Amino acid sequence: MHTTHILSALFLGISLLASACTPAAKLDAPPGFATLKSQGGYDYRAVNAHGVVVAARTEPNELHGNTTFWADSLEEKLTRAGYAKESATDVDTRVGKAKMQKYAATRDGRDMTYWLLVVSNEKSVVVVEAGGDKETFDKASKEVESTMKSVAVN
Amino acid sequence: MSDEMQISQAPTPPAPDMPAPAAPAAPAAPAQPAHPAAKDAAATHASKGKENAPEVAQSLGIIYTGTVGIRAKREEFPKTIDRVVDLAESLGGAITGRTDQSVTVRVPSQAFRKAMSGMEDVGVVENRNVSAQDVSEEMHDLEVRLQNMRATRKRLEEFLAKATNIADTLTVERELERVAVDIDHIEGRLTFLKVHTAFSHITVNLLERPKEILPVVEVKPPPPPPPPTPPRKLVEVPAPWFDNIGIDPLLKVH
Repeated sequence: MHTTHILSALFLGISLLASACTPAAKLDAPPGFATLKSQGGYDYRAVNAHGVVVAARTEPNELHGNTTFWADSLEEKLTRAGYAKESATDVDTRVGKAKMQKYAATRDGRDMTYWLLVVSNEKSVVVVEAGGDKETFDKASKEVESTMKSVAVN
Repeated sequence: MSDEMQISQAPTPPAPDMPAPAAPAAPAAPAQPAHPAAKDAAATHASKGKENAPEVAQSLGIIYTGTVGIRAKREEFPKTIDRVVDLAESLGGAITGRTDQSVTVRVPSQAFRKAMSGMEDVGVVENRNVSAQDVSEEMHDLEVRLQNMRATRKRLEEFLAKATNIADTLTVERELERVAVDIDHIEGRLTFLKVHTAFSHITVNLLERPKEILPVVEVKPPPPPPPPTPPRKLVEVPAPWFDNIGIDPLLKVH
């Protein structure tokens, strides 16, 4: 029994250590947004009262692609899925030069807005997303963009 | 007394078995033959009328009729017809008939040849036809007959003036009416012939010019549209997390 407790404590310690070493993206919560518990693979996710969602994730850069590679790959994936790209710009973030892409999409007859920010380094790919119904998204677009550029990695 | 006898003999009532002459002026009267004296008078003056033949012969007595086919564009038909009419009027003639594709004019016979030549200036003459009907003999005969009938009428009028009984008077009057009808008929025919010999008719038929045949230009069909570009063959990026990128997973809040 004693041995069991020791092993449990050891695994917990290892897990906490591993967790502390894994990079995780975080954002400055925009005003009017509530931060959600991490779920669905996101490191951070916040939503406002009108359904606009901002989220960030960190993925391992197993392919060792640079920011342009990941930005182009994601653009390819999204445009093939029917997203219409409206703009693509380079933006400065706390983790370096990032690529920001803005898309339009339609869901159930409603115009939707979807923004994507991607930045990578040798070890990880940081992806920040924001989306929502275009009508409500437009009202919070400035705060959302500011929040996306505030991305940081622990 | 002898003139009276001659006159009285002339209008002697005819015998019942004699054939009745035509009497348009007195259709209700009983049929009676021409008085022998009147016949004699007509015969006498017929020989005198022939002496005036040279005067009648002065008339040319030929009716000229021309037909011309002119080729023109359909849209130029009215203009061409106007030019034909102008030509006729310039020669002292006039238009006598017109349709959409033909016009008939009459010109003085002396100008007939000039008019036919003038058609060359109106348009392209495809065909022409000229016919001449010689009526000089008929006109001569009519003139002679007319003069004879007039002489007969004069003699009958003299007989009528000297008639002493009703029977002679009626007989001469009836004969006078018959002669008057004949004179009218002859004068009408003569007038007709004189008019037609004085003027010649020309009918111009317009023939549509065949439309110009444009050279056939082979129009090449437009090149077929290029086949649609096949979809790009892409190598999927081996990043499983791509499946969670997009607005749908983003908005899915548990």
